[in-house]
Amino acid sequence: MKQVTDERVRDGARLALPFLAADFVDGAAFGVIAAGVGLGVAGPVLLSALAFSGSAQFAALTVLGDRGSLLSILLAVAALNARYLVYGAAVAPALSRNPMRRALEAQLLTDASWALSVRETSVSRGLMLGSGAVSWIGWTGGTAAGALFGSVLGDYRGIGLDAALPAFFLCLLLDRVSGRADVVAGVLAGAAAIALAPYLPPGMALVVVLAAALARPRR
Amino acid sequence: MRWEVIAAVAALCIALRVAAPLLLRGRQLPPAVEARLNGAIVPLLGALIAIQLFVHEGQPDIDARAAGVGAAAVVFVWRRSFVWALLAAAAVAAGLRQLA
Repeated sequence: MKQVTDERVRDGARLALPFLAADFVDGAAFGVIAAGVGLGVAGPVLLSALAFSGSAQFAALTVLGDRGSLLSILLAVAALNARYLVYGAAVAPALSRNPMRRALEAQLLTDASWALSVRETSVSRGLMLGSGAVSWIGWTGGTAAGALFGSVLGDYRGIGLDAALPAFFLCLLLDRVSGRADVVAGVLAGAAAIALAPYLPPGMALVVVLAAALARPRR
Repeated sequence: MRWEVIAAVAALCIALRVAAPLLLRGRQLPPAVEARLNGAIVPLLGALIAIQLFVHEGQPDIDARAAGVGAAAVVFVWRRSFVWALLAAAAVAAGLRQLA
């Protein structure tokens, strides 16, 4: 049985707290837009609680707003979230042995909770669960607030909260780089993602970079 | 098609998250696969940062957040604190927007 201590869950929650507000306001923005395209209040909240995927949910709204088909929505979501197959494989050995619990724990996988969980030499289930739960509360709570109260919430970019998530990823990257080869790999991957993005559907640049990183020869 | 979209998007997101953990069950990954996954972490973080900071609606773009994230990097290297680094990012991005 894999052990997960309350302390590690608390550590994960504490590390995720700085961007709880950003998750909340992103969720609120989703709630406002989703209500605006006719999904009502219960629909967006249910979608955020179950899908828990900002990029995929915003992409779905974009396609829905353009009167796109269900198939095109699902293709966009699959492209944006294909990386979760890799995240899931990375954390799988650390999750509960009980299949139902494994599935529930995997629901707390996000870019940030995955990145935190692999921050140390072995995958930390506690860090993933703690940080993922905080993000889930912020995202779903924000969606409810946005769908219910809409424009009352104002623009969060004015207080710079939209800089928190990329800053968080950069801190994790700085925490992880251990030499010139890592710096080169990170910079090249970033440059490739920017160069590819205009020519690929949303999310696919990340998938291509991830595939190249997985396929590159080992030293 | 409101509820069909909600059900289908939720089901697909859940499936992509749980597929690998359920298929692998409690098994350890082969060392070669684990090494590849570990090797992909830095490039993927680099790509996530680049996409979030420098791509807007599919096109290269830059705004005040880049300076904020630069400030976060300086603070993180100096203090090794996520909280202070993220506060620095938000403060610098907000300050630059106010000036603009």
